[in-house]
Amino acid sequence: MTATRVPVAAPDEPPPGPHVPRVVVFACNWCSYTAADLAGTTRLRMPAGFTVLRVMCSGRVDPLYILEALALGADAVLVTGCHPGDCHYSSGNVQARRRVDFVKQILDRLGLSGRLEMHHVSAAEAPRFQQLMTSAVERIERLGPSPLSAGCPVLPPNKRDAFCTVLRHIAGQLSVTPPEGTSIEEALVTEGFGEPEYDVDRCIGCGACAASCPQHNIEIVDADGTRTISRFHSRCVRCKTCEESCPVDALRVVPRFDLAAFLSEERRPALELPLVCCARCGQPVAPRRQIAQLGDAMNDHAVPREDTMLCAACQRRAHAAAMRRHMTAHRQAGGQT
Amino acid sequence: MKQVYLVPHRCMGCEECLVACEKAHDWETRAYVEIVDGYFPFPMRCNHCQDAPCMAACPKDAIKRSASGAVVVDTALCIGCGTCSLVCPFGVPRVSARTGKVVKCDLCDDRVTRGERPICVESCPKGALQFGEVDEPLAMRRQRLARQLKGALRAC
Repeated sequence: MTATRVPVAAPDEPPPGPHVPRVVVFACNWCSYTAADLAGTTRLRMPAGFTVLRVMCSGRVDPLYILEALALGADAVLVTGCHPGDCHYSSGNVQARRRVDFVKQILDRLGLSGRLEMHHVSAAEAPRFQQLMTSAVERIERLGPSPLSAGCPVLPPNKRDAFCTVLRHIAGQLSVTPPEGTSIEEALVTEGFGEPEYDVDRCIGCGACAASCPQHNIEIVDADGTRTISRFHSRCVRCKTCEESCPVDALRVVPRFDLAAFLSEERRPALELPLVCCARCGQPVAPRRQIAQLGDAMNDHAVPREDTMLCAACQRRAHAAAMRRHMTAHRQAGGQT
Repeated sequence: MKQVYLVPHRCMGCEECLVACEKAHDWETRAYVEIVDGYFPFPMRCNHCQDAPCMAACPKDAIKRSASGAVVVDTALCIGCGTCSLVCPFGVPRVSARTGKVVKCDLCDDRVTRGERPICVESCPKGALQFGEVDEPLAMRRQRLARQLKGALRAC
């Protein structure tokens, strides 16, 4: 979303008469959109009341779009994508399924259950597409029109704020109030979708999170005596491996939203920590904090000191040289090896 | 406990142990050969310390002593924080860039339980790496000294 967001006007009042469901279908260009096309060319009888919006991948559907569609008067939203394993972009449909599940949770808490679904439809499955649309429209006829009055507030450019704004708007209309002392987004979004957050004071910068992240979401760069830990926030799959691996409990996956990013390679610096460099070669060894907290667990062992800290390679070299000196001295003293 | 011990002056720096170790352990070598003063090779590997600092320092208790007495890393528990690498006086454990876990000698646990010698010992063409009980080299040295003494006594 760019900074200049155009406010979307509420659709015109529906004509009086029996309620015609308004179902918004986000259809993937490579499968379900083609299936819809095929359903048309094979002249399958389709129900009235659904609108197909083509997206290049179901993974493109942001939770914000779903909420916005509902706020703007849609009775239901369907997201259709390729079958698992068939995604044109390898994993977009899986991402979409995850996002839909996330929004479903929120809608259930808001009392809007049954108004969001995700289906996997291949390009050849025109009859299935027809059947899905028919059943969706029938279900909406049973459920009745959306309790929300069409209209959406002007959204701020920041995606997270935009999501919260829509959420607050919908919750306000349904008179859902959060428990005392919490915001509506905290009450509604409890689990699942979130982002890793560092406790800047606790993190020792050991890099366990980066080493264990299956998505290579966390990046560590050592330069100019500082270790910078940054995240590529769109890669995160919220598996919480980083949270489990953190030895000092400085990392938590917080229930917040950071949704489909527009720049997948957008780097978000999380924190910077000063490094201790090798006393011999000057290569960075470890963050100062990690070395400082070594003493706690070491019992009676010699704790490495910051000023004489060697990198592993120099440590090996130093040991080998010491052994060599020892051997030479031993031989010079007349000893045999 | 059987251990690998070094006879450093026999090492010629051929790095056969590194290659054999690499082949046996998923293409990540756990042995090192350091060249001192640009000339003298010195084989280096984990010493499986009696009271290992890495074992004490590991925040996840992923480093344990195996049945054969080796200090081994449980890769299921290892988080790749590199604490063991920081505290090791020999600089042996290393965080693998490929797996994000610590790579460290396990004294070829599988081979030793089968009754074989570790692969580095097996591959060393010069016998710079030996495998045996910890007292073995000491006993050899004692015997040698005793022989020398006896010879000296006989000579006078």
